[in-house]
Amino acid sequence: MPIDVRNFVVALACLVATAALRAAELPFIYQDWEVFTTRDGLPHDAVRSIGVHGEQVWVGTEGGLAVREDGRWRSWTHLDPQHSMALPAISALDFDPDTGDAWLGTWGSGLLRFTAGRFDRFDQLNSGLAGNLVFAVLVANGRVWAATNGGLSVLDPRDDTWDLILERRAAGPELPLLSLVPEPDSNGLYAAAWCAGLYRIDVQRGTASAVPAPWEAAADTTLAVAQADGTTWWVTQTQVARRIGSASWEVRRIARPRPPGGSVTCAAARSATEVWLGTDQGLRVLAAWPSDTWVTYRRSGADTTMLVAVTRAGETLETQALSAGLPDNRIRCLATDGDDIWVGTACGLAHGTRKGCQEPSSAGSARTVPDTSSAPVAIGVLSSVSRTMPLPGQATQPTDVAALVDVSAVQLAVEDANARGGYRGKVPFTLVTDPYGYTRYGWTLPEDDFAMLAYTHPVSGIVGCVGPERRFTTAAAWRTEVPLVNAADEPATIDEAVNPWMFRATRAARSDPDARARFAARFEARFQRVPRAEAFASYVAAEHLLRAIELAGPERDAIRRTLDEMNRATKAADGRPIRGLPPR
Amino acid sequence: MMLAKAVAPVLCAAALLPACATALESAAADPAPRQDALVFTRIPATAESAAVELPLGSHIARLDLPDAAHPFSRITNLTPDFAAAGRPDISFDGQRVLFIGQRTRDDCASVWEMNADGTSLRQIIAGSAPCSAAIYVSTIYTLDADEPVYQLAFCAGPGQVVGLNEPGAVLFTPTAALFTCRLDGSRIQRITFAPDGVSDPYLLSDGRLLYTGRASLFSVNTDGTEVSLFAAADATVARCGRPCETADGWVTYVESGALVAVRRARSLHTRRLVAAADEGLYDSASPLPGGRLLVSFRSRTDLSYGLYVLEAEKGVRNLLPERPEGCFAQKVPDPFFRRVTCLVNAPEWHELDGHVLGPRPIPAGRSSVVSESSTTGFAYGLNAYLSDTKAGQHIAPGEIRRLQVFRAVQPADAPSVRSRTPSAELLGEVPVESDGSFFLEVPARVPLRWQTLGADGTVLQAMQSWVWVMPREGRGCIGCHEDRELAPPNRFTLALRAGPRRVGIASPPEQSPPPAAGRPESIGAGGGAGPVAQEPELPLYVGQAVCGECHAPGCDGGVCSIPPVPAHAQACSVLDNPESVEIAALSGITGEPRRSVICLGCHAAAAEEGPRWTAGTFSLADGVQCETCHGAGSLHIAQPTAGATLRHVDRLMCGVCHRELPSHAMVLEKGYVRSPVDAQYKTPVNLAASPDGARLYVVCEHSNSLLVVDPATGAVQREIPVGLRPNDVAVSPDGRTLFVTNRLSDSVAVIDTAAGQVVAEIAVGDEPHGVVLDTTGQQLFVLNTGENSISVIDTAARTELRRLAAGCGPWSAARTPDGASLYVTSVRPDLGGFCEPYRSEITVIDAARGIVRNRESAPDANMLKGIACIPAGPYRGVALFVMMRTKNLVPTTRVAQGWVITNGLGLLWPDGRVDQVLLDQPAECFPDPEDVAISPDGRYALVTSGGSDQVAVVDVEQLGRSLALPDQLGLSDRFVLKRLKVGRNPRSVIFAPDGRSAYVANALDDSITVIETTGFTVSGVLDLGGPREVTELRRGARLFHSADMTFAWQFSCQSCHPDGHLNGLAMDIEADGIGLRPVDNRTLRGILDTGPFKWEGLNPTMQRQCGPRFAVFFTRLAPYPPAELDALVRYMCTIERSPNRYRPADGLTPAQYRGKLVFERTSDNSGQPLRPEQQCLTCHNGPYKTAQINATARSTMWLDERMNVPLAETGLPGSKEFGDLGIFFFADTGVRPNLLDVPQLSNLYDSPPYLHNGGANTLEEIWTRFNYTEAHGLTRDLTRRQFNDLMAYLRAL
Repeated sequence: MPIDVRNFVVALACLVATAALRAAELPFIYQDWEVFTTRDGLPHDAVRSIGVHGEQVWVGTEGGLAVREDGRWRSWTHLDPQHSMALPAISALDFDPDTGDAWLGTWGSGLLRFTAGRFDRFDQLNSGLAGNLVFAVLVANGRVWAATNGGLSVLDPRDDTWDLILERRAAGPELPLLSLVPEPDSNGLYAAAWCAGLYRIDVQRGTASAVPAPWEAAADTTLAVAQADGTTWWVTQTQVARRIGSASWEVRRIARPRPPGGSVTCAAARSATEVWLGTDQGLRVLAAWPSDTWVTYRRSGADTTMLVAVTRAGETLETQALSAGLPDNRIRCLATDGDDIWVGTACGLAHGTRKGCQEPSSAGSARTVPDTSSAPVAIGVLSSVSRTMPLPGQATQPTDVAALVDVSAVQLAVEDANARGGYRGKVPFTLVTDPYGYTRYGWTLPEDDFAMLAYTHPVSGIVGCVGPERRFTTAAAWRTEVPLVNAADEPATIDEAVNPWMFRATRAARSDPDARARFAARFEARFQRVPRAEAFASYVAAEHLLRAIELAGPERDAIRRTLDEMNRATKAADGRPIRGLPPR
Repeated sequence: MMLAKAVAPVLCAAALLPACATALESAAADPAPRQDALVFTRIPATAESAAVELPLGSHIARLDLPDAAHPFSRITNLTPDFAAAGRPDISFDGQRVLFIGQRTRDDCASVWEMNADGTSLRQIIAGSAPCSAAIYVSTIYTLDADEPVYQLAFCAGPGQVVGLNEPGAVLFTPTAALFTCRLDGSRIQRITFAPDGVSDPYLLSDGRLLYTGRASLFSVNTDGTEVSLFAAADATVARCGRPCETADGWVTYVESGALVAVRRARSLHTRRLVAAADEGLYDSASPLPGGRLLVSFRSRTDLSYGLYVLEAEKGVRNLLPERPEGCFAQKVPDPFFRRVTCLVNAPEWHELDGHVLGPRPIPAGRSSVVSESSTTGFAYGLNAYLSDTKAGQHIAPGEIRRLQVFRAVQPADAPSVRSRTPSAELLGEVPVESDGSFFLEVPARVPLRWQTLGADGTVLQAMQSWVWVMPREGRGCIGCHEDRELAPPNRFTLALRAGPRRVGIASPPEQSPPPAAGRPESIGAGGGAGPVAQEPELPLYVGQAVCGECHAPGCDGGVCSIPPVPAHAQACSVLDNPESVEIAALSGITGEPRRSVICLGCHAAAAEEGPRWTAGTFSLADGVQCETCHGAGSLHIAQPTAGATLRHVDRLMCGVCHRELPSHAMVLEKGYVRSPVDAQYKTPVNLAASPDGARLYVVCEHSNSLLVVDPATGAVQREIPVGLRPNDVAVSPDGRTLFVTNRLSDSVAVIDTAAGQVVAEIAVGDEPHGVVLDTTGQQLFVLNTGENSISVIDTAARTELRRLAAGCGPWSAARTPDGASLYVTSVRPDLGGFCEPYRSEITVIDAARGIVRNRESAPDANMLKGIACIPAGPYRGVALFVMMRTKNLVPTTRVAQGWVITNGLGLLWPDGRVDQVLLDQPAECFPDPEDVAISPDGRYALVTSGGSDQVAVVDVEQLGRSLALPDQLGLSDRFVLKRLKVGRNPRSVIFAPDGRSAYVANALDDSITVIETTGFTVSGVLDLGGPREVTELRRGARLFHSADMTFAWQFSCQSCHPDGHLNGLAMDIEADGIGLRPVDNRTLRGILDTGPFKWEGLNPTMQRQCGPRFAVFFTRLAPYPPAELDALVRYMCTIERSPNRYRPADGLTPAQYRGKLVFERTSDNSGQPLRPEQQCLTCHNGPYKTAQINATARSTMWLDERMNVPLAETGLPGSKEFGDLGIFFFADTGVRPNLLDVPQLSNLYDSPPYLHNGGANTLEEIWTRFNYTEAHGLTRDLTRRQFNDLMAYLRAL
């Protein structure tokens, strides 16, 4: 045999062997997916939380609660038997395995106990719960932990007693806790703070202490914490760390997908070596920690094809195209279920299984947005007009005069836009400034407006003046995915910088084509969940919004004077102040 | 009917006597009344229209029947001096005769009274208005009277009515009307205002008056309120009149010559022909003993009326055992009268209006809200679309827009014409709300009617008759032409919420607006961060010896300005005295006074904080010492110069404890002690049978024991002491173990039946009531009523596995026949929205998994207590539960038609559907249904009525077939076979395992009634060995649990206060005006020292609250006599508080202690001093945390905004949503006190909802939702953690 031939054979054998080896080392790729949407019994397509409890799979959506048992879905959409009050968006859920009760965190309505068909509501007005925006819920040792915008509340349902850890204080940094997990082999908890690191909660003493970060703390973009098999996973926008037992942290960078894009939104761990990350551009799975092997699941364009890519140490090993899979790339929540995975997206629930599963019950296409182009386009204004609960160190949360000006400025801008015909000359803009009775009761928090604007009205976008100290607001924007146009003058902090849902209303931002494009894209994404707002999904609308914010900035004083004059003129006519401007 | 023609003037005498004597034995104990005489009217037989007019020559005759002294009957003319006299009525004592008389032919017929022998004649009423009839009436009571007074009622008019004993008392009536006056003719009141004329008044046993108007019978209260159709003639040309009531509850009347009877309870649906007019004509009837009737009758062949006795047919039908299948049950026999005996029939006379001359039972006295200080009343319709007529049923929702109100105007001429057609004058027009409701304030004592109009002014429905309201009366109707057997649906209508619209009344003069609700200046006044509140270091109590090291005479630290008081030092030790035990018992304190936080609060230091917060140098036995006033001193020792660590004290603080407490006065000044007998009562509340039926296990609440009873012999075989206030018992499947819940010990006692003693005690939740085992006996489910949870117990390990969330106040439980599920009732409804209909939960438990599987709801039902599952038959698996339907959203008027509470049964079907039916009937209720048991064959159910001492026998099959009409009174005729009278306050009922017997635990008789179940008759009573003597406390307990004091037996005290606690509802009572605002129910536990009482704080004593006010605004009968009232109050004083589950045994938790410091703070978080009205302690001080004063709480909500609170001017955002709870609270005195009673805070945790109108579902909401203006304490500066601490402390009080 000529040498060339021998060499060729050897080379071929090596190639085959290498290919076989690589194939053997490839992680499992989920090819069997079920997709569930409202057509299958979910109360709403936007899935916000998932919990697996034995044979039951519980799903919290933006329109109710659902449970899958024995292959069938049951759902609840209202709080009470009279069906008079709709369920709020369910942001988190966990179970009490002892009683079978489910504990639900909500956006804007506090904590719910779902017990055999009944919802018991615990909120910041009727109970010891510190805030109504609940980011995470954990049931541990018979107690219910709820991470709220007022602090980490703890309820002992048996004794009906409340405790409060990491109470929100006016002078201190805001620490929105986004996820909670039990500490392995102890009674402690880990809590991931929004762009502010990881905290360990001493359950017995009711104290919290920061966990030293394995990376540069100043640039911390902590998003989530997960736990499985005694291993704690700490997830940021760019890195993931694991800690087995009490060992030291190990760090990996999150593999960047190709094409790049998509920020992490959630995480779920399956084992000490496998963690799933949800992003708004699909799924990323660290399938094997030792080899740094990642699998990416992502829908391709508008059709139902899902692309799967396997990379190791930055090298692509495998790509596949599946005919069906995720209903949407915007991943909102994850839950492991043995070998299976449940994925909550903005447009439905996906179930990936290792077992042979049935044909997908849904094609997984995104929802059709109804044509409501003639409906008014609502813009919310997040201001401090309402009286709110005084934060510690603050005698009262007063009416913010500057915020009043913000409201008035946006109001004038919208009136100006509508005077010119509104969007496309025919669709009026409306301004939502008093969406709820935040003015009705005393003990409310600044972000209460946010949840109501986002889910009850809902608005297409929110205009606000969010300073660097208001991390709960930026966290709420990130979790609720409502575009928030920030008119603040101060430089953005990291929580705002990593937040894809926040935009600066500066002249520079307005003139930046990339910023404008991103801005419009975010609005479009939002509109897919907000039917009335399709007409607002345009750059033109964003232009108006930006103009409003612009007015709220440097021209603030001038507007104040104008409004004063208008007030005087109006009062002279009928004795009443104009809307939105309480007497000084 | 065959009638024997009278052949002699006096034919029979013996027929009357024996029965009279027998029956009258139970009448009032008057001195030796004659019982062998009749009084009647004699009218010359030649006169025309004998039954209507009193012709000349008519007189009152008295028939004396033969006796030993007088062997012959005698007839005496009692009114020889009158030109005409008749219509006699006998006084309740049988001594006097009231009649209509004319002295001369020219006189006007007027009201006279004389002794039964014709002496002591006196005129009572005079004037130009001819009187046609007069009767004695029972008492009437109003709040401005000292005591109930007896009355007369008479028909007179048209013309002037003059009271002879009250100068200047002249009333004009344009038509014949009904009047009342006192026995001496004073205080004449016109009580009917129909322009059609009235006649034939009659007093029913329940205290209502009947009269004939427009040819029908109407009922009206003796104060003129609640006029209502009682019975109508069978034909349009017929006329109803001359009613009388017999002892069996039937009302007989004459209908165009025939004798007709209706049941008082269902008068519109039970018409029976007693005697037809085909053989002769009847004129009048009156009751005789033994169910007989004394009638005036004239046969077709006779020329004159005579007096006859009608006797009921013997052996009337009882359809229970032999009833044909599918036939509706007939629970009351028809009044068949067969035998007729003639007493007297003289051919030349009509003998009419016969009455037995003797004492008779006094009908119920009534109470009245009618006030002469008012000239208007209220009329409200709940739903104009609800109609019983076909025309009304076709009106589409939303079609009715307005309501026109007319008044009747009599023609000015010819006032002597008796019957004239009035004309209608439009008074005004008001809108009808979208829910069909309207609410009017109209002139009182004016005949009114109204009609509904559509959008185009078309008349949709118009009243044909006239109604009226009395001054301050609230007259309600459910709908236009409502079904008169329909109780109102429990809905808070838009009209009641909006308030009354004045029609036909001049507008009141403008009143200057009250001061605006204050808006704190600091709101909106700019922010700025203040100092961050630090968690306070918690001080310890060090004791007076340590204080004395620096503050003894001669030391540098200064000396207390109050000289040492020996009593202070002994304050704690006196708690061991017997008097202290009595005082504690009167204060609702369980256990020893020395362990009571309430007692120690004034008798020692560190009482609230508890031993956890005391140093080793502290001794409780030192009594009142330095730290009692100054607070714990450890921080002061650490920093002596920091004065803020000690409480500043002035002499005003002494008044916190040195105040008059009724409990102390009763014992120390009046020497009150409980009778030793009181400790010997048993009070059986629940019972169970052993699996073989050979033993009954009876839980005795009062004696804290379980009795083992042999049902065959009735012998009490053993008494086993258990915990405090045992409530229920469960028997293991093998019969070897019993589990008894101890309500106030918060535990379950485990009893070994062989050993006959408690072998273990398992701690459970707060106030455990019901208890049930699964079929295997492995899991025990304990219903923790006080904390709305269910403890699941592993019976082998005797440990609690888990605690499940239940409904509000889980009470009783039942297993399904297959054992797979458990049903748990809830005694209180879920906390819902303000003024919204409520629901109560039935919790469904998966018995095998021990978790809640489902939760079913009973809408508009509360007090879900006993429950049982049908074990066999076609309805196997259906659960029956007892319930009330409390009408808390509609005004508590029209008691007779279920406008306060209705009582009934719920059916929980296996698919979760809940149906409800009532056991009440109009004007005859089935109060306080407590328990239900079902026979093993599933055919019969027994239901106990704790308030009326009855057991209803229910045909399960008929019940299952009945329509589920939850507000339909009278439906129970279809399925209730019998109502058995049992012992006092029956609670639990069970069937024996073989189904042959049933047992009823009579709580306040210490007995068990045995019912044989073949014919469902009482076969015996088992005596449990309680004392025979009835002490004052026992009498009070019986009164508390009895509905006898309520009109129509509608409710008792405990209908709203189960276990002496509360039902969790706020009710729209009349005391503060109709529809304006509900009033939250308050607990009765330990209230003696917490006066003044009621939310307005207008009642300084419990006697005032429970006596006059309770009668006028709730029961509508005469108030309790003084001795009964004292007994009732004495009992209520002993109702115990349950142990506070939030308070650890060793004292407050750190959070609670921190909360206490917040409660007692005198400056805010920024260090600014708080004004007194901003401090909690200003109003909430003393042992019960009430200053026992009235104060302006000024919590805020929208409710009072309607009352012109100019909050809009305050500039508060959303001001339309706010008002002030404390400002516009109407009192029944008509004043605006601006004040509310400062409620006590003891055991505050267990009495939601909160605030005087029940607007706050939780403690937190009092401040987070209803303290916007910061007028209920300053809380806005609190941190969330401080706020939570404060709540934790309040719960621990």
